[in-house]
Amino acid sequence: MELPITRPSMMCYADELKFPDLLNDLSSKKHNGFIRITAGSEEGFILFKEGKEIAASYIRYSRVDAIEKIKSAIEDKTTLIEVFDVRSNQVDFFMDMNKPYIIGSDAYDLIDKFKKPEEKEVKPKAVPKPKHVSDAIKESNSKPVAEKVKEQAVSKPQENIVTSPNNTSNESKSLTETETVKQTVNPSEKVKSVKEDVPESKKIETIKETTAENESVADKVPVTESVSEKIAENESVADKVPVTESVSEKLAENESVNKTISKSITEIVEIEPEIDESEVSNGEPSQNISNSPVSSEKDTELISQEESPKPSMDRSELMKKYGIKDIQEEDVTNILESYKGGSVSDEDVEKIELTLMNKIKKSTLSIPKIRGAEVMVFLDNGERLTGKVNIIIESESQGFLSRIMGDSNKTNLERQIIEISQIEIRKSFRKYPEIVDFFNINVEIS
Amino acid sequence: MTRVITVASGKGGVGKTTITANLGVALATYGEETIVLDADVAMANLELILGMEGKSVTLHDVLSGAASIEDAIYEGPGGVKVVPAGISLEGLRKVKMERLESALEILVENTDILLIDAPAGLEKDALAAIAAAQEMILVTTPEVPSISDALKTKIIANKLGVEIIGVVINREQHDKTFLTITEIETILEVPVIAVIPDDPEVSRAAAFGEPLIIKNPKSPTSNAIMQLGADLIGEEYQPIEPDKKGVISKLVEGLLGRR
Repeated sequence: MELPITRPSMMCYADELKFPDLLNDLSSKKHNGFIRITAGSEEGFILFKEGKEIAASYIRYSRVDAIEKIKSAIEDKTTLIEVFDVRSNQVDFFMDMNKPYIIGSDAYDLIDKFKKPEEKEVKPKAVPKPKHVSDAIKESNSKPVAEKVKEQAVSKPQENIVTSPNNTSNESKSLTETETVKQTVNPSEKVKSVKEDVPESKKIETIKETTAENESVADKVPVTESVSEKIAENESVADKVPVTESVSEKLAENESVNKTISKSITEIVEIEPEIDESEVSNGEPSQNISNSPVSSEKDTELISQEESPKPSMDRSELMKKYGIKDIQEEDVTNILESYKGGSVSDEDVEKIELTLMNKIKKSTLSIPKIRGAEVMVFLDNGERLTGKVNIIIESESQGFLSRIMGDSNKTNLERQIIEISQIEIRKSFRKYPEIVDFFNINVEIS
Repeated sequence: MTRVITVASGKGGVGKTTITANLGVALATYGEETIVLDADVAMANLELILGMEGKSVTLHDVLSGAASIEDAIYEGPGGVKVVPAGISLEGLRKVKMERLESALEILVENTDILLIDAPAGLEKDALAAIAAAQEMILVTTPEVPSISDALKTKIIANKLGVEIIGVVINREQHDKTFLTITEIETILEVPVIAVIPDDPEVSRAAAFGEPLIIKNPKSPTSNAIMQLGADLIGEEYQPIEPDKKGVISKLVEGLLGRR
């Protein structure tokens, strides 16, 4: 199909998401755009209009065949899936351009079948809605403290930076909590100091407000992603999204937002009461938090549940988000092998000699004037693989005219044999054809 | 001891050559004996950026065994020494990257810093340029394909035992559609050592065949590269503030020929 390839709005490998879920998601979002599926050198497209699949292609296949091919292509985990957005008015234009690929009712049956079994799988995967620390804290007797600190908090830098309150979502709330928990676990020393007059709920709200602006990004998150993935995504986007107009440079802005979050978190950490250090070092944050005068046992359970996303996961989440993959050990070895020109073990040398010998002999004998040929190949597997090829040729007896012509026929034949030998060497070392330069070929014609 | 630093990227067109050329000039202005070697024998651009095209002996000749490396060293702008790769494709077939290693052995004899502009990709020529160095600067733009390729390059460099100094983010646009510094650091697991803003002055300087840090030392890009150079050798750098003169005073100066 002819479609404009721009920056994809989503990109991932087939093993990173459930393709039917993606189709369902795009349908529910009434997506205008297309999906590109790339499996090796093969490429397929599904065009969407208002969330409905309207055209499909896969290499030379179209419509139902294309859907079937796409279905099998996505079973390969290395298949790349990209989602591209286009404007609704553009879709009609693309439909006109790609009329041969517009799908009929038979294709919809297949697509429906394609979607249904996966939908069933999604349900048990649905993540239970977590209850939030901030809510829990609000429920507790923190009101007087929060009110008391409202005035103080105005002068704090994070209050200047963070705007757009009253817009919190569940996802951003969960981010708030997770961040809080993560940070609470780490600075074990800070946990010791108790500042009872610090506005706990107010500060948690501050972080919540900071992250609330990332709501829009949540729309891009694939349906099957876990809460932890979403959290990580929000975290990363928090770096990007400008949350204030008071700071001119976004770079500085991002840093300030980070600082704001971390500062707030630190302060939240600081309100924790005296805790046995051993508890902290043992990595039992739930216990620490349960000792807090403002949190209940309920909170402890919630926090321990939400503690699971580890900071080390951030990279993998980011990689997943942007569709970046670490290069595999095997690929690294292959690349390095190609750099070294490939390594040959001594056992292989004899096999290569024999193979080359037979190949060159066979090709040489295809020249009509040659009655017999003896080929010897000697390889030297030293610093680099080099070789010597000796070819002894018995040619047909020359006629009277040929004898008068002299050596020119012999030279031509010799040249022909050398060329044939070089071709055979190149064919044998397809990935390293320049090796032919390291071969010395001698031809003797009798 | 000579520091051999390769500037690599993985993806092509991220500004590797521009950064290498300007960084070389920057290091030379700090008094370091610096040689910039263009190892991108197939797509040589360094000499165009430094205004040194058309040199008689180039790295092509050295790698094809027709000349010695000493004959391919030229005095460049700001006192930097340059080994151009040679734009002609004639000699490319004869080029053997294996000869690079022995050429570098001679180059490092009287040099403080040898900067190698590596080719894009992970082909044999790129790997030869990476393997020849002890240290590497990874250049990337804040875009996904560029980061992805930089990651591959980093992994290969690690395998080859090359120490990665850090990442230079080029063409930073403060655009939220791109990856942030933190994200890039997280993905590549390498610190960001410089952020170079997207600057139209770079293209202008290249068109003039003059390094940006000489043509426009007050530009943000020049300041960022000078800072990077200073950081590499542990020097202090005070950024040059842009002119704050009014338009009229500039016009008067221009008319009086006092520029």
